[in-house]
Amino acid sequence: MKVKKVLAVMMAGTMAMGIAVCSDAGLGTVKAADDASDKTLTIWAWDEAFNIVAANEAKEIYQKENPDAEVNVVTMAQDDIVAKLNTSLSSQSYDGLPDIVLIEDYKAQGYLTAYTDEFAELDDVAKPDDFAAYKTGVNQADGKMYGIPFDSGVAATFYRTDYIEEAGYTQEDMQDLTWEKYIEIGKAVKEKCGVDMCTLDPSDIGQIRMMMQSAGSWYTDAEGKVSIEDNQALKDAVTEYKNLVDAGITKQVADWDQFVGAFNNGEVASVVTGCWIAPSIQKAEDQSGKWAVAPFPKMEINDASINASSIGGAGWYVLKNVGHEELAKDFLAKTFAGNVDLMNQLVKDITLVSTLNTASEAPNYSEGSEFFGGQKIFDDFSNWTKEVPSVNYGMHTYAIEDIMTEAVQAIVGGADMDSVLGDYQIQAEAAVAQ
Amino acid sequence: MRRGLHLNSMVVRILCTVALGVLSAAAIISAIVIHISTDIFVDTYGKSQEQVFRQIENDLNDFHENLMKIVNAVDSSWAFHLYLEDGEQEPALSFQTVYQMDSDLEKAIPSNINDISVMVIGMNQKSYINRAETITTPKGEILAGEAAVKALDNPDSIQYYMAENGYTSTTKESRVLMAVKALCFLESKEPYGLVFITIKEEDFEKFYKFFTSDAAEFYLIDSSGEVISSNDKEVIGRREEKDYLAEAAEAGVLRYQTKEDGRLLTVLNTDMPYFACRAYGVIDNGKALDKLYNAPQILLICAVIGAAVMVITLLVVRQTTRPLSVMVRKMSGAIDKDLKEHMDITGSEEVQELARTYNRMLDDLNSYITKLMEIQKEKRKAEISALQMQINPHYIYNTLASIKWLIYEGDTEKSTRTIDAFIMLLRNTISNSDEFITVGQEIENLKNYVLINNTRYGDRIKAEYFVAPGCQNCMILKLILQPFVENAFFHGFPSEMPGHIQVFAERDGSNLRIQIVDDGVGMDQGRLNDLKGKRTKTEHFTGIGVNNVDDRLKLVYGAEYGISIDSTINEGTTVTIIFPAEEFKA
Repeated sequence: MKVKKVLAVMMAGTMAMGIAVCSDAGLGTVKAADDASDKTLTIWAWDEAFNIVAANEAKEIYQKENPDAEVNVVTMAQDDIVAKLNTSLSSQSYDGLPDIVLIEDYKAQGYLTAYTDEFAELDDVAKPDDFAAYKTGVNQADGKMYGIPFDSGVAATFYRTDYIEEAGYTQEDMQDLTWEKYIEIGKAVKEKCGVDMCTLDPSDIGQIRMMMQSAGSWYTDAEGKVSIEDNQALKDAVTEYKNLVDAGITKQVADWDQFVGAFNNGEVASVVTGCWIAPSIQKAEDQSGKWAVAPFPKMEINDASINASSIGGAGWYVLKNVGHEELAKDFLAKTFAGNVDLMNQLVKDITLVSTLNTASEAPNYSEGSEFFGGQKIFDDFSNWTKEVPSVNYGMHTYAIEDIMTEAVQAIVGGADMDSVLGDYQIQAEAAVAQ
Repeated sequence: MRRGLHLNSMVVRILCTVALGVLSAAAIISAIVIHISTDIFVDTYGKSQEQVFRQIENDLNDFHENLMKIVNAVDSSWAFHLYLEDGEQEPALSFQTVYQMDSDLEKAIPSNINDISVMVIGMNQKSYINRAETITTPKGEILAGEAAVKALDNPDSIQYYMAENGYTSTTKESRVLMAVKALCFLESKEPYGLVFITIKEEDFEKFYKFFTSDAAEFYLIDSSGEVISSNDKEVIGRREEKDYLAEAAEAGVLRYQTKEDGRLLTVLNTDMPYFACRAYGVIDNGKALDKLYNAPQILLICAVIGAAVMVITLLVVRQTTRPLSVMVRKMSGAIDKDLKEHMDITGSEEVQELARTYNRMLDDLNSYITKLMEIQKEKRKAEISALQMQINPHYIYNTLASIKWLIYEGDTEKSTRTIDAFIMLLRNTISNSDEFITVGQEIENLKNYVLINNTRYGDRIKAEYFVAPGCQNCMILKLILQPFVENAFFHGFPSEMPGHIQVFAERDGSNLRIQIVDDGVGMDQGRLNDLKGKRTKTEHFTGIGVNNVDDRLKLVYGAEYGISIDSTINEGTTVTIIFPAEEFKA
């Protein structure tokens, strides 16, 4: 009897072991992500003259302290980043996605609302108070911070002093500029110098956006409702835009390449856009000393409009399901979230107007810029930044703007503004309907 | 105790056999199963991959179709025509043109294609790109580049071209695949521009990524043998000259099986005419199978089961053979223990049966031997008593002749005494068939025998008898003393020399000691041996000689009893007989 018992126990044991081994084999799936030994970060950004340079310098600084970390900075067109993020996040496939991604402020709320769970909370990396007040709202959702604000999008009028003076105007004339005055100067420039005043891309109505914000308005109102038909600031902006086109002082460009090419080749006398364009302007080293920066022109026809606005600007976000959340957060904490040395370096290299408050302590901030004729451009930028009217970008800026581009096209073509905007109000409401 | 396992022992042999059996069974079954499933796997896997491969082909052709649509949209857009023309335009018109260009192109690009960039360059170097990026290569260089030349040489179709670097800021550091198409005027067939649709090679990989793995490679190879795209980044841009690819292409079948360096390869291949390429999918079946069979795990399972079986076998065999080895030890010791020790009936049924049989055999053997010994004893007794019955006839003649002489001399009294003694002697030896008599009767017999001898040979030898009190009635074998007295008479006193024969009987503990002592000439060692060995040719009273006496004593009383003879030349001989003292019971 004893023998049988022992046998039974042995057999049972053997079978159990066999089953354990087998089942182990069956369930043993390969888990790819979250390998602690894999210290590779991927960063996606656009604009190789600006954001990419910044990312690469941050990488250098980070790798000094963490030599085993591999940081892979990928240059992409912003459209590509948008398309790939949307495709991958909606299907929750993280293969090939970056750990850190630069997202434009206008789009941030849309992403944070649609994919809240995909972004890492960064409250332990930085505090909203560390950054310029107008920037931090877009990086938050439900009171939690998801993005590290990066560059200021403060708008400015970059202009060629040589052309302006040749046209009979002074740098004085460029201060406290209105769009009416701008067109006037443009006509003179066109006449005297044979160059256009600025470029316009018919499919990009950033100018209208800036004008609108200078009057404290947006495509959506404070509650996030589409506001086109009865938006006086918008109407005034479109009017100013139409005047600009009709004046015949603009160079029509179809793409970014031509936009950059136009001012680099001396084909336009000014560039009215965000301060982030400065490094692209500085690429044309032969034009050093010929440029100056003035505030954004206000709309004379709109009382609310002031000489300050904003365009673009972006923040760094961490995708938490790609597999290196902690490393990515550590990277941001040691670089963009508070490293004044990095900011100081970037001021020099890419004319970064940082939104990090402590960055104003960086020595390079008070330096005059040789390229801009010794002008203390950072002082100017930061002064204007403080004045930028705060608006609610909402979640649908680009969805509405796609529609508005068409509307502006029609109005510039001669259609009646009120009826066109009335039609497009309905379309825009339909487009953003949830 | 010998506990160690001998190499030759049953346990070791069984264990070895079982281990060998289990392992070879596992090996053979594994080999057969793997072999069978390999064939099935290669076939099914090949078939399923064939579907995947077809899917890639379709996707790529769809992709081509989409690119074709984009190119056609550009070609048929008035806005692009206008834009690429030389000369200034009215601001409002140019504004409209540019907007129309953008929207024409946007409509033409399917929403699921988001990783291409479309660049249009006029022969006058006017350019358009649909992405927010700059064109980093000078336009003159682009127009003179290999890709442009290829497209201008074949203006009717899209030309695919692989370049180490793209022409724009986002692609200048990555390998790209470009689809280039010349735009020509309808009538004159003169080219007025080129469309470059650029996709990064890493994005292009998504078309076949789901096919590739460690075991499966994909190659897109153009007509010159150059690899346009592959998951193996090393070979891109190089000429691929693997024989099996060429063989597969020549075979003209979608799925081609071949062997290369001992690897079993399945080569899927198809012509991609739009791309002017041939697509190859190479599956290394060996590697694909490796994933299927986890060899270390199979070995581990075999080892675990094998070890368990061995342990169980060891226990069972040990259990079975323990009584057997006990039995073996007992059997080898049985001889030393007079075949008396029985086996314990334990262990398995067979072993119990064996033990029972052995015990029975041991019993049989014992009783046989006992019986045999009994028979032997009986036989010897019978022999001796037969000898004892044999009164030598010569003795009778000579005695009777001596008595006749006495009668003739007229010595009536002496002759009467002699006849009486003779009668007594005959009666006690022949008539009395008992084997045992009392010491007193034996002494009486001796007296009669000595009397007859004295009558026949004269009175020169005197016999004296000393029987200790209490010995008179002890049992003694009949005629056991007579041969020694007879021997002393005839050999102790040669040449008519006078002498004495003394017989002592006394107790020695529980034994009776009887000594026959003479003061004759004694014997040397040689004669002593003769005496014990064979019968002498002297005229004996009965068939029993000195040599028989010792046998008889040992036969009756046991080996520790018997006679000892002590003789010294010219001093005499002492014969000592020792046997157990027992009172006579009539």
